[in-house]
Amino acid sequence: MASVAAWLPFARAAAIGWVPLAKNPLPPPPFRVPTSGASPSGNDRRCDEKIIINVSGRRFECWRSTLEKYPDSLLGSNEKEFFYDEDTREYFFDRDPDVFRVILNFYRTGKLHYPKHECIAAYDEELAFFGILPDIIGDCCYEDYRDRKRENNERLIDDRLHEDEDKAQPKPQSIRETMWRAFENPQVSTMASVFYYVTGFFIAVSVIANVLDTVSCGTDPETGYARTCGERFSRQFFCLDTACVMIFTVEYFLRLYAAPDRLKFIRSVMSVIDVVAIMPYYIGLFMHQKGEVSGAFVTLRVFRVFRIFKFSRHSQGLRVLGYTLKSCASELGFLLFSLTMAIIIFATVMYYAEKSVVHTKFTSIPAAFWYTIVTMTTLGYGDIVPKTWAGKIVGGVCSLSGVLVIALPVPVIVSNFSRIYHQSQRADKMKAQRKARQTRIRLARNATSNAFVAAKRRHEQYLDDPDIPVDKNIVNPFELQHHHLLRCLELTTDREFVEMGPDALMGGGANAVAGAHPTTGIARLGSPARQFILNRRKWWCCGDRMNNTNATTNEEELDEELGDFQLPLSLTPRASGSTGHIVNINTTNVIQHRPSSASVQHNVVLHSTISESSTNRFDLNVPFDTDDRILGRRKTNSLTPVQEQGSTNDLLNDDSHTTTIPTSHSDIIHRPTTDDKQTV
Amino acid sequence: MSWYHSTLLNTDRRPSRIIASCKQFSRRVSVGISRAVRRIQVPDNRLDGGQSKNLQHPRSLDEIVKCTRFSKSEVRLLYRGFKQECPSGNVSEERLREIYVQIFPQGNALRYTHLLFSVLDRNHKGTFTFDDYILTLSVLCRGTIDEKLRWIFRLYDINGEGSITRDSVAEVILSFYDLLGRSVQPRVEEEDVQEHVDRIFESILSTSTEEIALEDFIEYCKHVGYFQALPIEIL
Repeated sequence: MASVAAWLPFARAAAIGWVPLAKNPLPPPPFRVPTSGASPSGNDRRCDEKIIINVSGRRFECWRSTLEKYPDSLLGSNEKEFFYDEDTREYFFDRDPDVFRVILNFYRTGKLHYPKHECIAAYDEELAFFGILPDIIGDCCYEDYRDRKRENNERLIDDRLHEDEDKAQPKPQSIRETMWRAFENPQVSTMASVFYYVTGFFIAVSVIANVLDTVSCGTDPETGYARTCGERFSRQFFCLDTACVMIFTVEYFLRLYAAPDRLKFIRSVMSVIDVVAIMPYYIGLFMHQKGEVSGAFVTLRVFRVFRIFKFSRHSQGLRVLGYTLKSCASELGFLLFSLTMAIIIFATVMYYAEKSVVHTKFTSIPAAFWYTIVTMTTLGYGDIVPKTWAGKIVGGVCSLSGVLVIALPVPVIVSNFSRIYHQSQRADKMKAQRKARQTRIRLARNATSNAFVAAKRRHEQYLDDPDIPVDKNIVNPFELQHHHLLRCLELTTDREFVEMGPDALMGGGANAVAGAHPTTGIARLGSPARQFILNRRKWWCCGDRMNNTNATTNEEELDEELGDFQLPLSLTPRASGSTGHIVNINTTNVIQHRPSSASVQHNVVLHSTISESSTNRFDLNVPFDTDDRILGRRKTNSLTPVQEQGSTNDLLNDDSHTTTIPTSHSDIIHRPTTDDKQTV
Repeated sequence: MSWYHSTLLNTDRRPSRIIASCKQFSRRVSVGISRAVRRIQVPDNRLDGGQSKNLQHPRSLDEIVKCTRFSKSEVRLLYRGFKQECPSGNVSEERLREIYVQIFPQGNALRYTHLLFSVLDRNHKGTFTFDDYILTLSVLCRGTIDEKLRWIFRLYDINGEGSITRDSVAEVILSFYDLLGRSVQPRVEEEDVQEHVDRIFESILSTSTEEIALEDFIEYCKHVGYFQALPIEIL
């Protein structure tokens, strides 16, 4: 704690007061070896030096002792020496200066604050960088920090869930699954939307029929009484009702069939509503046949109004309202409880106040309940009013308190509703944007990796031919080393990096192509603009060759192999011409003119770096292609320079033998430069 | 409506804040009404914290350097630390106690800080300022033996009479044992403390009176010779 550090010297000084009364002699203080001369690291406490911290151009200065208050953070320990700049004699951090201000204030005051305008993720990163735990955020800002962190985490979890949902949704296997998905998301297919709208229409029709059923439609010619439309057009209404109920029944059974968990479905609210909506009809049918109690039958028709709740499947707002009411249960409970209390109190008082009035309507306390309710909700029907003074006063207080009691929980419910509604809105919006967002992310990732591969290639080009004008600014030492590393990896695995197309990403990368099909990589190439090709040189590696025996037995593939190795770094030619790729055919023509020794050379060179054990593979005295026997021998000594230097440049320069290829393919083969120094 | 409170306030939702603010509003309204009824003006300086009135400025740097045995840079260093801890420049007894509680976490610093505070607060203002602080430090760190002993005498002289009584010694020793706390080996018993008091008192007391005067005290301490071994180097 900073304050302990600050006051400890005083406490030690005051401890001199213990000396006379001490039972034992006190030990000498820890004696610090005086440093001779001024030590630059600041051990000499007499001059507490100022430190300059340069954070992205903004300079902060503080005493060294300020920073050393918290020795287990970056700034308080020796770790900051890693960021020391000898020339400017300051500590340089390439981080956000705004957040650093907050962090430095922590050192100064001992309290870490959380600036509300900062993004929580950025803030956490900065804290992690400077070695400060977020637990020590001061009380003033801690709640806010925790709330925002929780929100952020929820959002991330939400995103991840939905991503998984989207990804892990396999094609529905059975009819049941298709149907269930259609029921749950009407946008899935046209059939589903049609079904959705049809049921919605019939719900509306049914409800309207219910309503119109009771409108008076003129008089009954027989009895002379007013007649409802339901009685007048009873047959038509009955048909309508039957149709609606049939649709609802069919829908219910279809849902029941499609539900993955039938018991759960039966217990769900919507299912109960469905059942309650259609049961009256069947019960009515049944009872009509029996011809018994028609009063109960009439009562049952009341339940038909529950059909209107079926609309909640169609309306999200209704669902949100229902969910709000569910989540505001405690506020509603409070409202109910307080109202009940107040009603009882006021009703009792009113009853006793108005008891003396003759012909009073307040005949009992329950009779006064009605008055109290009407007054507290400020309805005031006026069917029952107090007549005495006391009654009127009580009535006045009752209405005032009613206003207050009812107004209190309402904002709570409203805010709950608004929060849930906005949440659902946001979920919908995010769902819609999710696809677009993910595509965007993928493209961005592609672009950076493609740019990197292109840069690497360009650099290799540049190394081959210094005449090619290249922007020197592109290449920096880190990039060089990165390129070299990738190159080593390529050679280790006998692969090459390829620019990825969008489809390649879906397939999980173009680098690993299974099978002995050497041209599978080519299949991805749509245009000559793709300068890298995927080439699986499986046949070079002895192990793979042996594994390949089962696969590459037929003539065609053997032809492929032979043809392929002649021009490994270009589009692999098909001597048999069976692929039909135009580009392939062209190169096949070209190859026949070209000395394939170059390819031998190249391949041999490449392979030599991989494994020296399989010497028989590239015994140059026995070249693969008989035509190149002589050339192969001539190239034996080219191994040695490679092995001596072993650098990327040499490897790359060895590819220079492809110069004789006409320029139409110069961009295909990416090392068109001549380099005769290797041939000798 | 306690159940309402418990159900609503236990749920970690934002609406509880609205309820809380509604309650606060209603409370304020009722307080306002009661005040209007009683016609009392409550001074509203609680929010202020009274910060502006109690800011204390030390004497100038040169004066302090003259009065104490510290160099300028040392005084600067000390003042910076002091100001960081107490921006207002005043340290109350409570603050001193809090600090000592942190330094001696197992003990009860009440008595000891009371003693210290009464020595520090030379003008009996209720707080001590940087001037007091640095003068004390100067005496304790860079003062002569006599000065230090005088300071200690003042520390022990609780009632300010100019002499130490048995009670004073008892109080001081008790404060040390309080600072020690309960978890020590061997356990602290009443008899040990009393015996300690008696022993010290008898050894210091030279005359037959029940009080120790300054000269006796200085004599005793110089003879005991403990002071040689305690150089305090704080800078």
